[in-house]
Amino acid sequence: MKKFIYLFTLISLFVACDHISEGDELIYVKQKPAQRVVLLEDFTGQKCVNCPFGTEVIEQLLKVYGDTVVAVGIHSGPLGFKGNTNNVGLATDLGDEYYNHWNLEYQPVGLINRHGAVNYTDWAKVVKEELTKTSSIDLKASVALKDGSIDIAVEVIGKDGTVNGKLQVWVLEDGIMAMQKMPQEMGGGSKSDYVHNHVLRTAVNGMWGDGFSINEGETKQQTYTQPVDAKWNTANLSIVAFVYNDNGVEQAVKTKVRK
Amino acid sequence: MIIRLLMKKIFTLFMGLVAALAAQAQSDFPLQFADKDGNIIADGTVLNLTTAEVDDFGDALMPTNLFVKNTSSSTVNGGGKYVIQSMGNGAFQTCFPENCIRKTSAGTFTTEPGTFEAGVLKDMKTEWIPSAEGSCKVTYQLITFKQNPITKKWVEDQSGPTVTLNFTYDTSGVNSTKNGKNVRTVEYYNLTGRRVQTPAHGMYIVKTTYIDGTKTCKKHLYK
Repeated sequence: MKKFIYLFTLISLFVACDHISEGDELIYVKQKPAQRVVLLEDFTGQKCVNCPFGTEVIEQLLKVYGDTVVAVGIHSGPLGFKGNTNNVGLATDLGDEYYNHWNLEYQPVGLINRHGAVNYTDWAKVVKEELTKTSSIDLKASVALKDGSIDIAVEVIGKDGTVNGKLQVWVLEDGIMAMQKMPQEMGGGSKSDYVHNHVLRTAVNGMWGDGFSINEGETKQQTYTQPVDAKWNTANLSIVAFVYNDNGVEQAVKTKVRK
Repeated sequence: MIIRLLMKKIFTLFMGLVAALAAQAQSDFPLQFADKDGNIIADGTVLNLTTAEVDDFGDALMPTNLFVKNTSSSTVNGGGKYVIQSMGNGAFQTCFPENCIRKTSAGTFTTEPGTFEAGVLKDMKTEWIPSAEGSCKVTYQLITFKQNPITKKWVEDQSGPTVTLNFTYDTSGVNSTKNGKNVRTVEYYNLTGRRVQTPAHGMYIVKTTYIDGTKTCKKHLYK
């Protein structure tokens, strides 16, 4: 009987000392990797008669994949147009610098997560492949328009290992009405009321962004202020932020500028 | 002596056969140059191009108005290879088959590959964009591409017909801007009323159509 009491007490002690249920344990839990958002840089031009075909592909991709694809129209190269007294031009020196840096030779052409030049006829296939990948970081951007400036806060969350690279922030504008050469299949000639969307307006933090590093489990925030150019329509502005390195674009996010 | 004559005849016959086969090969090539109505332009054709127009961006252009027809009953992966032999000024641009490429100096270039459905007639959207009076000479050849099954890269496969493009931008008879108006097209007619591509010596009617739709006709003596 005494033995039974000892045994019972011992079992009770074991039970009493049973560890905390698994759900309540305070141990480090690795976060799930983030879905990789695809950055599509479309090197386009108002004098490029085939470029509306590329734009058509982008519209279809955005319709199907929504926010998981971020498209940027970089007006640049020999078929870009910088404007004159009669017509609005959307090409910039910044766009030309990118076009030349990537050694691009024809238009329309795209960089998809910066893995080399891709002909627009292959954009859908490559975007689909990129969307299957995960990312080691997550990105969030909050944007506010205040006193003629855009206040931007970019939050980066490390999810897996260490990521070194650069954080780039751009301003885009939608709904710009400007002349565009059109292919015969879309009516031909030049269309003066063509609506250009996701047009790259400027780089907030320099042409190649800021050096950046983050470890797993860390959260970092960078803030920027961008003055609004008189030519921009503030109702149609967006901010694109992305982290890239030699392996391509790790993550991207697009946020609309709201008053 | 007899053997030598016989050899010469065999050689001549052989060379003739080779030439005939080559000509046959070009006409059998699935991609052919054509006009906007699909009429085939023969291999080796030389086009003397003198018609200029000014686009809505204010650039003078000399279009080729060339098209490419897939005369076969199957889809073809093709494109072009072109040699800019001389270009006094400006840029040669081809938006064919899928992308636009603009070159500003002489050299040999190849387009990206594109897909041609059976029977399709594709506008080559190819032109010289002169920045001043002068000339430009380009030979343009149609080619097919094949894809490397391992690397998935497209490589040149077979070569097809060629055309030579001789552009001459001469504003002595007409101006790209006249009376402050931009010129859209310039056409030349001989005195019998027949349209000609390039005026030779003699009197011609020069019909100028402006961007705003107005037209003028003037007699011009080409010496």
